[in-house]
Amino acid sequence: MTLDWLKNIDPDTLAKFAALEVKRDDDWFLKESIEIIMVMPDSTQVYKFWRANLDCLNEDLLTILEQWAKKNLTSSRSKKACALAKELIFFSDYIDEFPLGSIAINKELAIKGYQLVLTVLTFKKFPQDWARIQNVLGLAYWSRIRGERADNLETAIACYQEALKIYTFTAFPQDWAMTQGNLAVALGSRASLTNNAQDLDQAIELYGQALTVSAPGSYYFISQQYRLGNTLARRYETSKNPDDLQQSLAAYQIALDYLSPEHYDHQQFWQAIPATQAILGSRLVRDGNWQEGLKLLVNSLNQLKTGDNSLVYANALYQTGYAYELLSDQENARLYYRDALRLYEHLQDLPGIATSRESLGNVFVSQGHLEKGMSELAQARDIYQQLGKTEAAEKVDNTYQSVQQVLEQVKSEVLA
Amino acid sequence: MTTADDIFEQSANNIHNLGLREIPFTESPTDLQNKTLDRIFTGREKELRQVFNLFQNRERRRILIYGRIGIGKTAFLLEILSVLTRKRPKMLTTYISLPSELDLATTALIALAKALPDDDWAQRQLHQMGIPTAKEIKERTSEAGTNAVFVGKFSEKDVAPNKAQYPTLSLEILLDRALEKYPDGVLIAIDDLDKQNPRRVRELMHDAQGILKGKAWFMLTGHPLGITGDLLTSERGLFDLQLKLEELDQPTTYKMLINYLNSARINNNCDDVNDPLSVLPFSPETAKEFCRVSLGKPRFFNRLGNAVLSTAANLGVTHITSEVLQQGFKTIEKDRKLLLAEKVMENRIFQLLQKRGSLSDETITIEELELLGVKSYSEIVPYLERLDDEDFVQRSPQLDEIAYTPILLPSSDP
Repeated sequence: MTLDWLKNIDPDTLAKFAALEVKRDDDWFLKESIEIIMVMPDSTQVYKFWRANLDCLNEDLLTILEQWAKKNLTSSRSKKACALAKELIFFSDYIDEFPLGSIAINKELAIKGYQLVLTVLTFKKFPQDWARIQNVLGLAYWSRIRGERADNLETAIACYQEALKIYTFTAFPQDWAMTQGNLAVALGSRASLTNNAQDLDQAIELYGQALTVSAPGSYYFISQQYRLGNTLARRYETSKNPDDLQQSLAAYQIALDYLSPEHYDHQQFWQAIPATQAILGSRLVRDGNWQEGLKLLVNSLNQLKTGDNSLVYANALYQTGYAYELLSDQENARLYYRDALRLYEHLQDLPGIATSRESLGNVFVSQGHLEKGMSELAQARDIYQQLGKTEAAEKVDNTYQSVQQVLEQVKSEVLA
Repeated sequence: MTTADDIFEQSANNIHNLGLREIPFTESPTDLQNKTLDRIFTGREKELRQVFNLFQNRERRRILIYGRIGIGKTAFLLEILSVLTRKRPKMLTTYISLPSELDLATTALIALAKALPDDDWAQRQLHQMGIPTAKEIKERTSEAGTNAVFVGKFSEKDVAPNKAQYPTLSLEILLDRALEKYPDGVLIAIDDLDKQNPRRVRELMHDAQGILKGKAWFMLTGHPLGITGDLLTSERGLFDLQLKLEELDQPTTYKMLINYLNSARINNNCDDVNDPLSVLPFSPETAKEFCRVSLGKPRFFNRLGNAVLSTAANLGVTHITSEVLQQGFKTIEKDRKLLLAEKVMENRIFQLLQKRGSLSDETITIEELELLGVKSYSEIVPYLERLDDEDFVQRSPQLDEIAYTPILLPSSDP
């Protein structure tokens, strides 16, 4: 067949014809993604595809995913459906980690994907896969951006508890340990929201149980020791039980002792060494072991200043300021609080800004710069109120009022 | 006579042409004889009074003198020791610069042992630490007979040096021995803590709490960076008096210049501040300008003085005119530039300081920190301190921020 007939078509008509877009199926993007994943199981190629079609990673894809699943994930008895479900697991894993586009939408797609997989890979027929999905679904809800944090955490906790029905200590000890650890993290996060001490207690117990199984020196072992240290330290804040502090320090020390260059590939460990040093250092200072504590803090700063996580560096700067404040070295305390504040402001981290301004205010007051101190305290109070942290706002306001009284007294004495 | 001899003579004559025997400026007061130090030491009346008031008391005291490097702490310490030597002959005074690898107890032990050259036990302590003594130390061995009456034969051999195992205990014992000879007390002055890493200084101070509360008077010099707040508060601190030495004011600096010049003048000494002869070979105008530029910092004052007089001598002049003064400043500026060129970070910071006029922890921006390749002001404070020590910058007097301004010599390019 020749295309000579095209020469006889009116040019305007030809142009209109050329301008017409080729109509694709709505689910072409999803289908192509799955096909790429089927052929190339690692994420490189599919990430390339997604980078080139970022506009397709949108809200509509959630509906498209559901419609595709209705058509394709028909029954757990269908081999094809089960095979597609397993590809969908990869899709969900990759989209959860994809750093571009809207992270919130990516997370929703991952959650939707996992939920749809569970309709095919059921508890009865595919218990291990089911348990794995429950675990990763729990992780997805824990890191979910949309929805109420409290509700997301409840769902995450429920997912982990479901996974633990299959991941028992006797049958799957390593998976059991990993899931226990994840559950502990979720409980710890819930405790941050609700100040529920029982959640912290349970988290600590779970870490302890998980650590009996996790292989010493493994990623999970180090991560769990570090998190155990964190949780014990948080419990110490309210319990003031010296055992909690001692155990927290011991857990951090174990994590640090096991960290070695082979772990440095893990992004979080690269930060964890100096970040842990910073936390350990600040704990030691609070415990009265000033020299050792300050040494660790300064070491951590030397490493963190060259890292790419400014928030961790800001936190370490703040801790160092706090250590100096405990040592009554107000000038250095002020220096480090200011540095922390500058970074927090750059990062727009409101909680960090509030605590830095509060601490800076206290230091100014103790140095006799009452008006400057009051200005910082007022700003801290306002931010705490904005964040809904009424207790913290009240505490700062009480300090502010006391300083105001002192200032008025001083002024009236001067006038007299 | 050789050409070298001629050059030496010429060099000496150039100084004599300025009416001086020698260039009186020196950055290290420990190089000076006591008499010379007494002549040139100027000012600090309020601080001297505070210290001497304490010495009217029988109770042993611990005194900390702190301030920036080059502010005159050593000269102040030595002047006090000089006065005490004259006024309290029954008090033993000792001075030592802190060695980098030693703790305070061992340092104090060495200082005290050196001040007791006739005490065998003291000299043995030094010998055991491997420190040379005036007399060779011999060990006595004995061979005793077996009969009831003790018959001994003594021979001597050299003692192999050992480290002092218990410096604190040894110091206590030696103090007791010294106090028998010196009933008015023992003063141990330990200098140059500010040459140590600030963190090491904190450790030294904390470890030395025992000896500092012992039987001796102590005077220590330090640097603000090395001193933590708790040591500076008398409620729970170690020191009965903490004296901060600040820059001298202009009239005191002018008087100091007169004293320095008089200490080296060949004849016609004059110490009347209103008499132009008192500042020869300077004129009153160039003397005032010199004092202004020196910013009241004794070490910088000496550094500038050396450069200006050396320049004047090289030019073969008899008076320091405005042109000669500027030439002297140019020499120093050239040296400063060379020094700074070798230090990348300090150079970068100094450039920014010159551009901005000042840098402070309150006002510096993230962008400025990024220009310097850092993320926090605390990272550049050690560099600023070093620049301060080398007299490139000075700390501003504000108490609520850590701010620095550049020190620009009049000859500096804008």
